[in-house]
Amino acid sequence: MEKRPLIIDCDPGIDDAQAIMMLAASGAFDIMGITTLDGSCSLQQTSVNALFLSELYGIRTETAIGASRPMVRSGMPYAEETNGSNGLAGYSYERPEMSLYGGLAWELVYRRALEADGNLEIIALGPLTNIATAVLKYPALTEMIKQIVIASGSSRAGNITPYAEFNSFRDPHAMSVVLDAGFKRLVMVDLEASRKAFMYADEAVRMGEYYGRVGKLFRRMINYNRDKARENGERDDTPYYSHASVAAAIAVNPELARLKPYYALCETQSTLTMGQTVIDWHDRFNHRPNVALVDSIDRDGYIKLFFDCLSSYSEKDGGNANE
Amino acid sequence: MSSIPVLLDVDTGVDDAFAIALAASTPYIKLLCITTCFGNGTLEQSSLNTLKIAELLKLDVPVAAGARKGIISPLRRGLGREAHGDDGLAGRAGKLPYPRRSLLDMGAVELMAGMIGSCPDNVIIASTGPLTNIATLLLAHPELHDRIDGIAISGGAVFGGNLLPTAEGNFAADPEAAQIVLTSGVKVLMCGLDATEKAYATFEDRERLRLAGTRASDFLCDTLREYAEYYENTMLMDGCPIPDAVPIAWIINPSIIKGTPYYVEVDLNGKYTRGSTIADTLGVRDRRPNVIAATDIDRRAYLKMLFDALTYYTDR
Repeated sequence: MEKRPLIIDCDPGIDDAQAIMMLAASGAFDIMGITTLDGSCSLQQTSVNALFLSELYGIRTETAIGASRPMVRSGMPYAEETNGSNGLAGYSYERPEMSLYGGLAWELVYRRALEADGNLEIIALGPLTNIATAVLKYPALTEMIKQIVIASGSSRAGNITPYAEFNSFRDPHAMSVVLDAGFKRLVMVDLEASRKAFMYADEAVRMGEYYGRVGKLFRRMINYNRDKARENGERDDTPYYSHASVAAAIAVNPELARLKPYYALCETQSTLTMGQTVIDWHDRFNHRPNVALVDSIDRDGYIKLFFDCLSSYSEKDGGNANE
Repeated sequence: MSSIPVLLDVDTGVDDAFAIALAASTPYIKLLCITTCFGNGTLEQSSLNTLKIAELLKLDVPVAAGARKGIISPLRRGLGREAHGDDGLAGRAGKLPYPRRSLLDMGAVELMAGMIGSCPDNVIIASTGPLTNIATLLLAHPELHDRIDGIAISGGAVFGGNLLPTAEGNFAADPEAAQIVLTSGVKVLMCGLDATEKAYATFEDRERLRLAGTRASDFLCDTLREYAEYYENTMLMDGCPIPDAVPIAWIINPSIIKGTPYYVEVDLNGKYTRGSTIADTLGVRDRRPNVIAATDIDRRAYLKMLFDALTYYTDR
């Protein structure tokens, strides 16, 4: 089957590292570029991480840096607690050799969109600053993108405030611009989707059981997440969530999710609900739908895809990997 | 004498037309391009009006269209309809022929970025509408920030408002864009209502402007007639302000304007004050000034400048 052209917009980040692994290993995509922004950690760190991950996963593409801060908000914290000081659970690696694309993120996106002649897809795993900047600068872009999948927003509970998800809280204005932009197909993989596609704790543990360089990184990441969870008083059998990799799975195999069209907005003004995505469940705003929201997901199918992809990089060690 | 390279972003508009005429006539300014934004009317209307005015003035500058609506705010139709008329040019847009030249086949921000990038000298950007295009330029091109010596804006108000009690129309049309521009680190010259309401033309002043006596000046002066009715009869002012040429006047001759440095931000969340400029006039926020706010203007000198501009456009 022909590979689908894809741009990965990301701020790796542990779950982004997991997601990019799936996007690379699945074989579904011709990855035409990676764009980075600040989010889980600084722009500089996410960019170096992205270069490292490209090299690690064998992705041959150009990486372009993008936004170093949210569009409007200032003084926003990074997610170091979740991702570790360097965004990758403190995993140390040799500084990657691969160089950066000459232009900025939105320029690469637009250029690739022109080249792909209507077939380009985007998956945005972090805050939406880069994509918002792209559509503000190039209004015609929305017509040129076949599909954009975003790992942002929360239709019910949030994870950084009671109702807001981290990415949309960090740059709610960008989220609002993207929701409003008029993309032909905008798949919103919100926090509820990742909650439905949870990993049982014993499944998550399996992430640490692979040989090789990829295995080593995944072992470090899952151990870091589990240690933090323990420090926070969570039980060892608490499920594990990887928001970005659920979005990646749905991008790879759309049949894993059932989607429903809704009109979604992002709150940009309230102090209590800043960054909350408001889903117009009952058509109160009388507005045509702008997102395809994940309604249900094949959890087992997601888990299978995740581990199929991971094991394509290395043999499983049966629980004693210690490279 | 070296002239200052200027990029002009407009939402034409009766007074925007004066801004274009002033910027294109003075030897102090080299007008690199004109970009259009929604504002007084829709983007289509402001683009068409801009092309018509450019043709009336026989300008040879590239024009490109930009934002259709604010970054967050929904389009508010006809922000300035009361003063500018349904067509943005006091009901007289139809008297100008359909323009022969068309918009460039690229976006406003691409045009601006290209112009700044290829200009050997640093530039000044002048804005007479909502700040959506300029905010997008600053977001998308961090590498160009230090190539911009200043952004001269018609908008905001240290005190007062027009669209809302404490919010000026251009800022209220896109508060997020205004906040992005003000906090970008690029120097901002804010020609707010404090000065622009003093930049008015009485009936006598308008008769004097009319003495320029060319086809172009006649058209511009005609548009002031209906425009002034709103300000004089509805708002009961002594004359009609011509705000949008004030930032151009400031670039040409800063000495006719009194500027006060303030730290200024734009309120984004207020139920009543969204879009208002919050100027730290008391110095209580302990932040370095990011804005020089125009607080007064030598009205006579300003009107003389406009008259000189109108006489530049001969009928030849």
